Amino acid sequence: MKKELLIASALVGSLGLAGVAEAASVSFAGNVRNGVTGDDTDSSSGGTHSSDQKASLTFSVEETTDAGTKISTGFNVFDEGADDAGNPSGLTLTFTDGSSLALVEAGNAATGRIATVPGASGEQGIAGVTSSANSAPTAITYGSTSDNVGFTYTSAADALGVEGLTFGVSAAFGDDPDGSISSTAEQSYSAGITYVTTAGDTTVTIGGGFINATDSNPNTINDKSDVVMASIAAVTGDLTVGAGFGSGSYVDGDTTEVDSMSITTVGAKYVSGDITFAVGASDAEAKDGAEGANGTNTDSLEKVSASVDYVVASGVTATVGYTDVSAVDENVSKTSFSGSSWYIGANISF
Amino acid sequence: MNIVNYCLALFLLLALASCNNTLDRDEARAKSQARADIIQRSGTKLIGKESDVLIDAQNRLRTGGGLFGKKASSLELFGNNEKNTNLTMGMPINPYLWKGALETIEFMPISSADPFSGIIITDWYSTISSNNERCKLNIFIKGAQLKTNNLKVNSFCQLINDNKIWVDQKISIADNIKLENVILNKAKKLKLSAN
Repeated sequence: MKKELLIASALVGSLGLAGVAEAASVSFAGNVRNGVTGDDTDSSSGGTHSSDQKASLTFSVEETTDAGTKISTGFNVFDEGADDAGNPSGLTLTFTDGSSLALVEAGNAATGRIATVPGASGEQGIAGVTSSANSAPTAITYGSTSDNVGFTYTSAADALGVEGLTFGVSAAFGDDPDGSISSTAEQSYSAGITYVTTAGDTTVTIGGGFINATDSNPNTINDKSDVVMASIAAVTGDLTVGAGFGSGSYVDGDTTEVDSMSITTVGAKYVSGDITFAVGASDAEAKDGAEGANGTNTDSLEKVSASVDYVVASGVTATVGYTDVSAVDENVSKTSFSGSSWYIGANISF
Repeated sequence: MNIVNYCLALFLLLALASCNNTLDRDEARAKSQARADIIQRSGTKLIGKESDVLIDAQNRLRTGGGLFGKKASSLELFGNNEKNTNLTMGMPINPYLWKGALETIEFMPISSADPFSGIIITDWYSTISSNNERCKLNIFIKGAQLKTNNLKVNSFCQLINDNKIWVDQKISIADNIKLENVILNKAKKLKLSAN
């Protein structure tokens, strides 16, 4: 009956107030993370210190129609030089039943539906490890990609009559210039599902999904992305624990074939007043090869991290983090990308 | 990727989804750890890499919001200066919220409406297509400014059981919020048309 009420309201609006100029609600939000990091790799005798600064600012606009459908869009401004600078968000329609349809800048339904595995806060990490030849993934969503020319439909909660179930499906139909030295996602399909349930005082979130995207590079043998991911998280009082798994193959960069990719993550966090303690670990490996060749030798990446967050004020957190990394490239331990790293900084949301 | 993996994962999730549970769904949703749910719950408007948005969302949830409050900071680009509340003489409540609320629910029978206390109470309302269910609304307009905090909608629904007795249903916070949004939107447009 609530729906009828809303519909009736829409009728009132269309009969009585048709032609009224619509006002858009414009808002901004931002996040700044400033701090210092220290790296101490296994190959160097002395550590290095450096600053770590990240900033983002988003302007968003939204309007709700008389029928209750919310139309929203926006764009962000990241640190100059960052890949996502000026990245617009496409259009999102949020319907009165809670479902939504994202148009453009869509096509990746799986990543939003997986459960978040707790992990350490902070920006610590061995410099260069992610951009090195090591193809081992760093997250269970690693390798997932899609083309922007698409849509994502996300159901309302309790979808299909199942309490706690939410699902998302997406498809994208990009067509980029074919080239042997460039690789982009073209036709992309993705689906994800979340199920939230309770057991005693514990709330359990289970999520999973897959992404498949074809590659514009005709010489690669892998799809641009063909990955599956699943995770589970449980919240009991102030304690949250979780685990996740990702697997598949993809094309890294423009020409690197990555096969037999797998990653397992586990983590926990505990909130005590204004202080949050978090620990996390991941174990990842993959086999990489040149364009057109299956991967043969194994790359791996093991990480163990911990952090302490302290709430300073509304929107402001102070963070101390530590990570230990062990990297192997082509079956050979890479001391220059292995070692420990720490971070001290602040995270400010506004 | 072997299609069997997809099917296996989907089957596992659907099997888990079919498990019975009777605990509070709203509370469970409020603790959902799905990435999209965390981002939505935090109220962040940030756009960009999902990992960065998630970090911001978690920071907002951890600290209770952003520097300027729980909601994203509003830009008054269109001259909607809240200092200009357009008060009507004798009405301590926002007239656009009041009129918007009345217009929104005008198809329902009104039990009482007091513009000085800002309270609208409807009578039970049912429809032919769903005559086994009836609902009523209590609407509270609590201030002179046109803002979210000054509007509260409480809905109460009942279903008739086999013994022809009306039984209270669980209050849906989500539906109340939807109704508030409809009234707020209506009020906003009334204000625009008045200006």
